[in-house]
Amino acid sequence: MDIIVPNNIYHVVDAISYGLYAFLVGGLLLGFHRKIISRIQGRPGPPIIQYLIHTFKYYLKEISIPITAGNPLYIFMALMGIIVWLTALYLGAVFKTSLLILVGLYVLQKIVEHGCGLSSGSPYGKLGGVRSVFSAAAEVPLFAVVGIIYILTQSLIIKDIISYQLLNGPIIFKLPFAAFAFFILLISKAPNSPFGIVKDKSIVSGYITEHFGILESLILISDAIAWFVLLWLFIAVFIGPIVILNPLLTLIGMAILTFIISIICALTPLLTPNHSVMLQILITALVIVDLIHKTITV
Amino acid sequence: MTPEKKSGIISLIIGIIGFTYIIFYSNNVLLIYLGTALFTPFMVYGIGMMLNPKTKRREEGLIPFRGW
Repeated sequence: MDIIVPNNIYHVVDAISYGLYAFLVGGLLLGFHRKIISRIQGRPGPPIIQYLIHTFKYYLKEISIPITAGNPLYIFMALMGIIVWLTALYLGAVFKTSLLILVGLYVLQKIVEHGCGLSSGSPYGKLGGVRSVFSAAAEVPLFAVVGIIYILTQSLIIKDIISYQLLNGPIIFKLPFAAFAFFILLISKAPNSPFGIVKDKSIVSGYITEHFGILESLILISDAIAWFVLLWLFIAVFIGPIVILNPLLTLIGMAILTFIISIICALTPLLTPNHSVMLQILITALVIVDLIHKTITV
Repeated sequence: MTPEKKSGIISLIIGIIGFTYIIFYSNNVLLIYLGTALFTPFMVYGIGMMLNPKTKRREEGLIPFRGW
């Protein structure tokens, strides 16, 4: 016990500080994303730390649970968002375990969105929740991507995928369609994205309409960690050890990816739900054709 | 006690019990990390609810009177 406890405290502090780092980096990148969009639209835009300021501001705001909310689901869903993305962060960036678990966790994010929307009792929240189920079409390319990566590397463990790239070069040049499909997933997760039907302004704020105050702050924290994890995953799986083994280069890579995504988000209109789903299914078809082609030729 | 405060206290208790368990009884690093991922949000929510300012409503559950 005497030896275990200090060790365990060390690991807990380590885990919390890594989570805090992911939140701060993710939050700054999302602030940067907002800044780029503003500049493209000819506005000065808020400062880059605005996302973090919002998170801290909402954390200290008074809340009251709406009378229509279904508790404890209403509160637990906001907590579950952070649980899901912290788990993805640790299993991905720290332990470099299976890619399949991370895909599973990404699907759990849909449960968070759906649960948030439906538990609030608000019609806007409900519509956001239902749209999050539609936008599950974005996950279908993800499974095709996982399949095609397995065909190439014979493993789904992130550590093995990074080692494969150490010997054979970045996967992005070998599987451009898969990288494109994953990139579309990144775009669909970005705020103000053409695929952002879940938080469409025509349904107020979608599933987070009734989650305000500290609950919104928790959702903002989970979104920042999610942004960090998804960018990290893209860099680790498709660009590989050249960038991912150096923390500074990883940060630069994340900033560049955020910059590209921001430009795309600023220049594209929001698609309607049916167009968004149709486009994502088309991309899936593209990756599946590539997968079949690779399976036949291997 | 308001339902908000009650939920904060419950989640703080869950968080403290969880962290106590993973610090004192766990000997697997992966389990400690996953436990941290599981219980940190409960602590964050619990602490946040303790910092939640006093309601400006005259009575709980009523919206403030904003004039006719």
